[in-house]
This record gives sequence, structure tokens and C-alpha cells, in this order.
Amino acid sequence: MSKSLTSEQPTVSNKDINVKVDNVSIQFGAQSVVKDVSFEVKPGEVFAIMGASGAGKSVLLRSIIGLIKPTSGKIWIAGKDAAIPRTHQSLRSTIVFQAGALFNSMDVFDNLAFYPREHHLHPESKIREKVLEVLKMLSLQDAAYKIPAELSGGMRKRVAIARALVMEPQLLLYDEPTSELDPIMAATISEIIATLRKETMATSIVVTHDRDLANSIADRIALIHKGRLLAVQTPEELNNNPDPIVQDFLNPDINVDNPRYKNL
Amino acid sequence: MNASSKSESFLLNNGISRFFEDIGNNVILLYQTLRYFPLAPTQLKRIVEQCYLMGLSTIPIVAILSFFIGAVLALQTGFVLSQLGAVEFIGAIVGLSMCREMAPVMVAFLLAGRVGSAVTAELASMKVYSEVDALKVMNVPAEKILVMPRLVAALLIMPILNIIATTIGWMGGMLVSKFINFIQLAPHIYWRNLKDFTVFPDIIDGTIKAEVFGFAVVLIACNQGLVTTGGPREIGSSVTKSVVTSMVFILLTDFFITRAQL
Repeated sequence: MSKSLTSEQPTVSNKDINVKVDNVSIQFGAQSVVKDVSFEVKPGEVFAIMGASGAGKSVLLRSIIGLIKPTSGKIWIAGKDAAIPRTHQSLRSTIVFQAGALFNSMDVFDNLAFYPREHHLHPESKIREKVLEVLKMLSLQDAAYKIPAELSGGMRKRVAIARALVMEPQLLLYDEPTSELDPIMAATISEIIATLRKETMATSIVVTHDRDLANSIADRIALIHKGRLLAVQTPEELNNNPDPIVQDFLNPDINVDNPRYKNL
Repeated sequence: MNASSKSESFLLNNGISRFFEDIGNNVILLYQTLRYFPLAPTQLKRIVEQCYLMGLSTIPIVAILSFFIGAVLALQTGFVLSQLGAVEFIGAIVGLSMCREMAPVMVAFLLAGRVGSAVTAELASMKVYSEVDALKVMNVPAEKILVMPRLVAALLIMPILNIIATTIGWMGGMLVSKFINFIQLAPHIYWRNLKDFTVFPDIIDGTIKAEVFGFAVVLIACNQGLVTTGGPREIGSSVTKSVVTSMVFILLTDFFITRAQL
């Protein structure tokens, strides 16, 4: 996908798309979900955020895309405040939601064509050409005229990625892209993410608790535990990290005699 | 203050703050949506689709209900007027009641139950399943493509539904007046009396009411859908709240509009 998919030119170039999370805390009422987290994602990098369920990964991802405003701290995308809608209008940023968030009233084709149509990026014939190109790239041609309810879990994920791709994103966020998928489909999605990184050069942030995905495609991994950042390291460094919490997350023992839920 | 009264006070305060929060949310949504009204011609396809959903799906039930409301109105008043020897005034009573009051209120109630509930359910489902977030990420405002077309469609379709309801209600009154044995009013007398007392400004007053009610019902339905959080259970609660709020609003506003018009 080397040629440009959209004619609308963002004001920020791909090589400037870094994400800086600066002492971010997020609270919902009395519940503190993200606690003073800081890290930086470099332009063009695939950055994975790992952590147990409920650790605050998805909330952090949503605040990067501007859907949730941090309670304190700032998130900067290419030097601009991520909480301001104008920041996301000056570049092409998008998110692949965990459940896809496909428009259920539209078929797959219309889901993909929605963004360029709404922003009048191309004539209808060219939009059709672009959408079919992306569908072919993700082997989804046969699903073009199905509605989301007719798709399997893996297909929904691929359609959600395809919809994000039609936007030709500079910053692409994935929320649990391999959750609820069989190992083969999870591997397929991992390969798609890695291929897209090569072809689009988009900065990617992947929230996951899939160790295989993070180890195989991420340049660096951030590990979040109970809202706090525990480590930001390359996959090799993280695997060799002696911290017992890190090791417990990466290589959990299943102890039937002393189950961990009884020690919570 | 004992525990029980403390809890009652908390519930009252909570209820009052929620009431004002609801009003605030509706006003904010209206303000945010009004900005997109000049873009209505670019959303023509969606507006036409909403007109179809609101209008065509509501016409049959509007026709049935308005016919019987007109008929019952004629029956009730005819019974009393026949004893007074003034059955010819049925035309005036049915004519004015239908066009000034019954048709706009009934159409608005039907819109709340038939269309408002569907709109809330659809938008709440879109909100709960992150479709509204997806729109935001794509820089496509929900107010522009989800709310504005529905509000414009309500403004276009309500006068039509109101006229249909009024006319069919009059017909219902006329048929009852003709065929019920204790009334037996000739149709031409019914229509002449109706025309003598029901003038064009009455139709306009009824249409204004219908427009206000229809706009409010759709605004409340959209707002209730877009503020929904949680899951399927909350979608159901939102639908109920949307319909109840709309009906209360219709009755309260009806009093004040009627007072202003008289």
C-alpha cells in the first residue's frame, strides 16, 4: 500500500508523530485507574502496552486518542495536546477498538467508505477503488457486502483494521487486537500489524495481554500494573527483567494447590 | 435528622440534580446541533431516510387513533348536546378540539412511543458499542449525522402528521354524528358548523404545537441515547426514560403554549 489512499494532507508529517505521555493520572470518581504514567513512543515505532485486565491500558489508549481527558498530566502527539480535538484533526490518528465498533447499520464496504465519503476526499469511483484495494489486502473481498452481524470475530477485527487503514493513519492505536481469537487468527492479526507498520510507517501503539503478539512485533513494551508503569523495555529486556511482578505476568505459574485468587 | 430522612433528602437532592443535569444535557446538545443546521442540504439523504422512518411508519397508527379520537369526541359531546338540542355544535367541538389540542398531542405521544423510543435505542446502542466513539475518532460529529437529520425530519414531518390526524379525526366525528341514532346529524351541517368555528389560525396554532412537541421529542430521544453508558440493561432504561420524559414535557409545554395562544 505504497500509494496514497487519501488526498487530504495532514499538517504533521509521519516522521514527527511521536507520543509523549507525561505524568498522566486518570480517575473515575474515587477510583484511580491510571497513576502517574510517563513514557514516550518514537515516530514509526510499534509500542506495546501490556498489563493484566483492569490495569488501565485501554483507558490510557483512549486518552491518547482524545476520548478521555486525563485527570492530571498531559499527553502530547507531535508536540500537541492530545486532549484538544484540533490535534487529531491536524494528523490522521485512529484506533482499532477492541470490539471493532463497526457501524452495525452498514455493510463492510460502507463501513470502510464512511471516512472518505464523509470528508469528501475522493469521487465515489475512486473511493470504491481504494476500499476494494484495502479489502483485497486483508483478504476480505468476499465479506464486502456482509453486515457486521454476519462476520466472525476474526473477520470483525480485520474489518476494523481495514476501516482504520482506509484513513491512511499516521498514528494507529490497537485495543486488544487479538483478544477472543484463536491462536492462528491471533497470529494472522499480528502479521497484519507488522506488515502495516512496514508499509505505512505509521506510529503504532498496541494494547494487549498477548505475549506472543508483543514479543514478535513490538519495538518496546510498557508493562502496567494496577495503573502504575512498571517497566518500558525491549521484548528481550522485559523477558529478562527479574522483577517478580513482571515475571509473574509473563510466565504465570498455575498452582492448583495454592490458587492465586485465594491470595487476592 | 434520622437515617430515613437523610436517605430521603439524599434521594430528593439526587433526583433534583439529575433533573437539571438532563435539562442541561438537552440544551447543550441543541446548541451543538444548531451549528450544523446550515449543513442540512449536505445531509439530504439522511434527512429523507428519517422522514420516511418517522412519517411512513407512524401514519397508519396516527390514522387509526385520530379516527377513533374524533369518533369518541363526537359520541361523548353528542350524547350531552342531543339532550340540549344542540347537536349541530358537534362540528365546532370536534373541529376545534382536534386541530388545536387532540391531534398535536396525540401525534407527539405517538412520535415519542414509536419513533422516540427507536431513536433512543439506536443511539444508545451506538454509544454503548463504541460506534459514537468511532465517529469522534473519524472527526465526524454525531450531532451532524445522527441528531441534525432527525431534528430536521421531525420539523418537516410533524405538520404533515398533524394535518392527517386532524382531518381523519374530523372524519371520525362526522361518521359518528351521521350514523349514531341519538345524534343523526347531517354531514353538511357538521362541516358547515366545523368551518364556522374552526378558522385558519386554529390550524396554525395546532401546527406550532406539533412542531414544538416533535422537535422536543426527537431532541430528548437523541440526548437520552447519547448519554447512555453501560450495557443492554441501560439501553432499556434509557428508552423508558426517553419516552416518559417526552410525555411529561409534552403535557407541561402544552399547557403553557395553549395559555400563550389563547
